[in-house]
Amino acid sequence: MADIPAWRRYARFFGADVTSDVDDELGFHLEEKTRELIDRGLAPEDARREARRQFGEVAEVRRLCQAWGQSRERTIERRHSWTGWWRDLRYAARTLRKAPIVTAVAVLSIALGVGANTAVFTLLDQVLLRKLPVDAPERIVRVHGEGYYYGSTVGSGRELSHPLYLDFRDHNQVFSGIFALFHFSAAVNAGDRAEMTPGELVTGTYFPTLGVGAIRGRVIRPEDDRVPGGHSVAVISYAYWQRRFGADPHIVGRKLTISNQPMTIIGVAEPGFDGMNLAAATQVFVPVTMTAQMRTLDGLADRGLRWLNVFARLKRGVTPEQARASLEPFYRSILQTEVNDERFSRATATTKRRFVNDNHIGVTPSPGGHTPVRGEMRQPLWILMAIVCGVLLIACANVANLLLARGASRQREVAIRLSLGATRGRIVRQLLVESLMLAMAGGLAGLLLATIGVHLIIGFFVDPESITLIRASPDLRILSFTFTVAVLTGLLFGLVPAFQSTTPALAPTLKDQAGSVLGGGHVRLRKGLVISQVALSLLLLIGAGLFIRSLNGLTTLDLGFKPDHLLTFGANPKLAGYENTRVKQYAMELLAKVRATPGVSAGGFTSVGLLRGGWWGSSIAVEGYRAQEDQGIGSRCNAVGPGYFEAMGIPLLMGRDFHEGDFRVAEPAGKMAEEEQYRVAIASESFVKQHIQGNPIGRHIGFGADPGTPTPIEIVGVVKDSTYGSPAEERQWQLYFPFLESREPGTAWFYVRTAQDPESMLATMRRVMQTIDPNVPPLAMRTVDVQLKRSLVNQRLVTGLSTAFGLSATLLAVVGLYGVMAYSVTRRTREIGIRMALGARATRAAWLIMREALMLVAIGVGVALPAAWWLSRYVQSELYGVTPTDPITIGVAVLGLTIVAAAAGLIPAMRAARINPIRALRHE
Amino acid sequence: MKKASLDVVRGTLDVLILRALSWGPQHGYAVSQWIRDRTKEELLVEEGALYPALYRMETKGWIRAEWRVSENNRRAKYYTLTAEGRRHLRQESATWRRYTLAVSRILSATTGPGLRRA
Repeated sequence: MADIPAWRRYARFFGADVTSDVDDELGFHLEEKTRELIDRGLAPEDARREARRQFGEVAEVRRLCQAWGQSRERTIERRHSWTGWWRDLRYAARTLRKAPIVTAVAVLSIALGVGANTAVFTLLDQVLLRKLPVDAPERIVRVHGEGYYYGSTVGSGRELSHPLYLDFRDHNQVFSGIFALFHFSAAVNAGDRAEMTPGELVTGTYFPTLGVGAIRGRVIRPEDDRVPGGHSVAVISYAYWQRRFGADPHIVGRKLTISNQPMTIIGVAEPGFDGMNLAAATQVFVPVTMTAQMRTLDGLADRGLRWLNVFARLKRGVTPEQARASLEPFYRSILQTEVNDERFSRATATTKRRFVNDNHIGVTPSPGGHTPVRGEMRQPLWILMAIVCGVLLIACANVANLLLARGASRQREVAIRLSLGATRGRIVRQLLVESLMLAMAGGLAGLLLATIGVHLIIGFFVDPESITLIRASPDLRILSFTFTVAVLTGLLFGLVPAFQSTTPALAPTLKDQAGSVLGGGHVRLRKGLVISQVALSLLLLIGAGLFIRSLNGLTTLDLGFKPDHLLTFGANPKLAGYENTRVKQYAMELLAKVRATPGVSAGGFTSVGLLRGGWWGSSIAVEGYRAQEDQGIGSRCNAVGPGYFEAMGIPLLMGRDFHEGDFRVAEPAGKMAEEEQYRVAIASESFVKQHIQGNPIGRHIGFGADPGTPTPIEIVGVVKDSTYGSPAEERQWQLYFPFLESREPGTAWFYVRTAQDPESMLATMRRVMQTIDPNVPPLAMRTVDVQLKRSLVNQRLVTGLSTAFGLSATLLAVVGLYGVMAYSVTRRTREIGIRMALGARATRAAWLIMREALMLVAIGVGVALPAAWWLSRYVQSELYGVTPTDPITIGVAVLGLTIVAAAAGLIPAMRAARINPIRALRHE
Repeated sequence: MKKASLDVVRGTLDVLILRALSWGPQHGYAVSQWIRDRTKEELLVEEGALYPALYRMETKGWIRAEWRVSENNRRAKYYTLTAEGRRHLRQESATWRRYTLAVSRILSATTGPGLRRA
């Protein structure tokens, strides 16, 4: 009979060992039985056999017992572990509640890091990263012009002419499809009122190449794109069908007018497809052959007019570079033909040579379609993304710091629990639960913050006219990513006390005061965290300061005209079917009525609205001025109505304003060349200074850059420079022509100076337009102040958010600093007590702590400044009137941070000064 | 000791064990000997069958087990009746009495089926 080994008794502490229990029990039975039988007189051998016989199948019994026993153990284990977790949860909630400030700061840190990242990324993803909702968008490429070009361009300079598009369509082996489009503003009238809506002129290959079908009727097909002016059909987007037509089931075949042209709806595009511009939902698609009827450009046959955005779908396996290389020789041969065209009659040999040799075709992947706003939003959004990443880092450092501090103060607790027999696993689990609870709370608060944040950003900073966002809910991918980062930080640093506490001997920890066993490594880590927080927040502060100064410069900039008490709106009578002469008459009538309205002190109008991003530019030849060869004078142009300069407050420096004699309201008989339409011009001060010596009045200019260009236009006046497209752009040379002399007048942008608040006059202006013709809708009516704000929307976005994030990041960093210093005072209580007992003054003790705090700040600043210098190149392009290494901004940021940090260090320092030496020494 | 014996039905064994434990904590061997002695070996209990029943009832919570030292100084697993086990025993005993009464009434009947006393 084997004795039960002693260790087995201890083994039972780790849970019941069912197998050995069963064996022990059955063995006991058989032995007792055998003994009894021996007592009755059986021989030991027989007794053993008889005992087994009476028992039955030992193996079977053992199996059954073990099965029951094990299932019982499992049930017990489960029950224990659940009650254990629940206990841990309650305990965690209690500990977190006991330290409300630490908990609140940690939760807020996580919330800010998670929320800010989610909000900004949600915006960035939608504006910059979204792809066309079509099959294999990565095979969609843009086919565009590159390098030198001679002729007219509408747009960014990457457009192609319609004949060139046809050439590529019919002669390429690299695309499975190629199409062209042009964005236009469609005045859609379904029998009630004209509504301005984004439209696209598209070629017949547009829908087939993209692979977009129709949910009702059919899409525009190649046969709808043959005869100029011959296809009065339109496709509308699903969203427009739903909104404007209430999902009318009989929509196909419905008649309406677009830009006063009767059209028939032939289909509704698939849901989710809103055209090639992902930032502005296109609602109407019209064949490109209808361009003249849509009041856009009449240039289908013009090789010199580049206006179409051309896109293609690469054949499978063809790279963009292969496609480009394949198109280039063909393109070169087209250019060699084009250079012999009539329009090159005055061009110099150099011009012709450059046109053929420096003029290239490009093929660029464009899975994001044709979304121009991406270009201007890219830099600001990535800067913001970098900023919120910085915030996340600071937040994580803060959480780490707080948890480390807490871990230090809890070492005693952990040591006691360990000495009372808690296993390391139990303690790790307890701390895990606490950290997770903290992270969860932070994550939830972050989700809330992100939701609010996205709405705030969109509400304050996103111009609904230039960007249509499909979604205002936080992006879940980035939310889970940042949340994971925060949780991992929490877990990592939340568990530190558990790991540290299991290493040192328990006795000294129990005897000593809190924290004294913590090695120098722990303190160094916390200080390192604070230094990085200080450095990061200084970077954010410098950034915010630069943006504030830049925006401040932009808003207080002299625009060259007076933006206060000024309102603006557009009127395009062509949308109501007016012909050229009547357009001019309408503009004059409206101007007269506006001026006669009580409360209006002056009024004027232009053909290009200011601060709206649109422009009209041209090469100009100046009489007696010989430009360097092929370096034409590029000037911004505008056509203005009578009294414009006076209404805007742009001072006339020389000569005269336009007068009645300059106007030609009625259309002249016969066709007129472009250079013949204007007879007089007014030039801006800088244009004159650059190109004309002596008295500019009476000198002549003309449109064009080639030698021998006629110069029939007489300069009659000179005005001061003023802002054209945006206050952020460089001042442009400008030329003004009489609106009433324009051959093809379009929208007239009115500027009305009011006596009182212009906001209150908006409704009045609408009524004035109604009285003349209710079919001419007011376009983008608002005050110029608002328009100015809108034109600076990106700057305001970056400035507003970087300031908010910079300040909150600094707050977090300062909290971190405070935590470390407070801890330092606790840790050094005895040391300070000894010093004071030996005669050190209270101020000396305080200085001890302050010095430590300031040292941390100094190192942080020292790290941040070179980083700021290195990062400056990335923000350079977004700054106006301030260099990225602006000493004032940097100085203020450093000073501000130091002051706040010093304040944070002062509180613990004061506590150090109040240390009572006697008590500190007894603390032992 | 060959003898015509009755096999014990499972449910019956449970009741016997619970009854055995109703006098106080006992180990499995003692329980088996007690049953053997009480029944005068009329009921044949294969002693091994006792143990799976004990484990099953422990899982059900009718009895509780713990290791103790036996009267002859050996380590043995002792079973104690729980309150729930006691309740179960009461219930089962009542059922058993009704059942055996009903059966014995039939066996001691004086008239056969189809006949009714007037």
